[in-house]
Amino acid sequence: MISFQEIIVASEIGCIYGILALGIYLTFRTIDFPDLTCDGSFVTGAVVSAVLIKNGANPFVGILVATVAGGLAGFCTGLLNVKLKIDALLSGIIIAFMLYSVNLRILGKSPNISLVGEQTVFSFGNSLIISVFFVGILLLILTYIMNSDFGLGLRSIGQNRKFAAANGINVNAMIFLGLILSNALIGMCGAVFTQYQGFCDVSQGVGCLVIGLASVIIGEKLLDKIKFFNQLKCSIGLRNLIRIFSIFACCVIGSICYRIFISLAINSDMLGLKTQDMNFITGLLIIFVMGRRKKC
Amino acid sequence: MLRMKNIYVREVLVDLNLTVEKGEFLMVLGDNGAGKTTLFNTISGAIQPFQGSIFVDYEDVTNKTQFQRANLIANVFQDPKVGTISNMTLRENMNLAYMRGRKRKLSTCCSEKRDELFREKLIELDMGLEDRLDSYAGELSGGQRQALSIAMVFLTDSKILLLDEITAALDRANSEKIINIVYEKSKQTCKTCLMITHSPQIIEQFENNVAILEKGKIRKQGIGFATGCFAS
Repeated sequence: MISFQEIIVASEIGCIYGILALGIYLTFRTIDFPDLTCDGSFVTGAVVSAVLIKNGANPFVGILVATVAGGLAGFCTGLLNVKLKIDALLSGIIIAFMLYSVNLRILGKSPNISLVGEQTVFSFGNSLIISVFFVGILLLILTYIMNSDFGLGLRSIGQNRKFAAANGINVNAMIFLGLILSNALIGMCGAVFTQYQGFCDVSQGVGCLVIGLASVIIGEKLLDKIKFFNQLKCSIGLRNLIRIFSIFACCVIGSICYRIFISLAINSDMLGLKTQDMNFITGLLIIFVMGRRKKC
Repeated sequence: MLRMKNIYVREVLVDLNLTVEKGEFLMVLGDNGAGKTTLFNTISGAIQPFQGSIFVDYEDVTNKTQFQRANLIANVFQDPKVGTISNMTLRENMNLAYMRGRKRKLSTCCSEKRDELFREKLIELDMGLEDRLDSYAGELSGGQRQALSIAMVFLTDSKILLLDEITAALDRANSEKIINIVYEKSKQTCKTCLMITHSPQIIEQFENNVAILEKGKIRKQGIGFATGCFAS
């Protein structure tokens, strides 16, 4: 059976991957852009921070630079889609494909780096507290952005682009900014996760998108159950903030639920599942949740 | 005032010239495929003309994009689902329209001051929407949603109002109400209005000022000949 320690570890990884889920939510839901760059930008973030740390940089600087690198990847996808008019899906795939070479270049000689013995952000204290702290700060920043006039404009282009354009919103600029913001978060997630596991590999980004999507879908399912904010007796501004916060918080909670579910499945002796079955279980989970969504 | 000179758009608009004075309420008529919607898209900036120029109050806007023109030109669409966002509350919808033509900053979009303005605008519609700022636009009926999109258009002082068959999706009682609101408010605020319509009642009810579009050109423009036109 699953031990308490394993649940803690699953929560830690869930929290860190919650940053990825936030990034995925920004593209797939907020601006309605099926962005597949994340499999590449996640690794870019990871390798950038690993190489910097290996060269003696501060781990926080590593995360910051990784975030910028991720944002740059998002910018490139935006360039392909908005300026060169390449299909959204294809733009992401091309950039992710190209990033593989870029990531190998950044890594230098070997396709992986070990951070054992190096100082990381998790050297400063309890891993769970640090991951909750990271994701908590990001949640607050995102809530603030999405509650502003700019954030409202960003959200509107995912809902109705014709309306957005007619109301003076620069749709192309918003797609750019949405992609930059999303991939910056994904790059940051890659950096934090690499520091957490003390290891970075050029192929660790495979399946990121599916994991992120699974988290977002589970989160949305949870959100449907807790629509409490309309009954709240508080000022309009605060109520709106709580509403937006809960949307993003549900992505993170979805990510934690996903990790706990996976470790429950893998650790259950009865099912006889092994680590290599993870992708299959993830796929089944998404099919189960999405299939149910369609019925209602 | 709106002035269009020698506009060419693909094969649809061919050497089109049109002048609409400030405060004028002009009905645009024409068969399907005559280029009415293309004309509106060209004015709003969604389509760039190959040739010709467009002026709003002597300002040349030909090379401005749609979002750059948003402070001058406002649209109400035929389908209220396009003119409002279903998954957003009335407050959010109105906030989006309130910022049309202004810089969208990182400051919070909800304030009591804006709410008061929104309520004031919604009270004018007399549909009870002023108490429903927290409702989602998707929860409203078609008529209410169209009324909301009209309230949104009048939140900013744009110079030109483009109304594309705004009553096509509504029943008769609602369409009369909506048209009356638009007409009165546009006269109050002295906006230049262009309206696409196929309804003879509407044309006769309001001024009878029409422009007939045929094969990409304005064939006739003026007051009082629309009735005969429909008969033919």
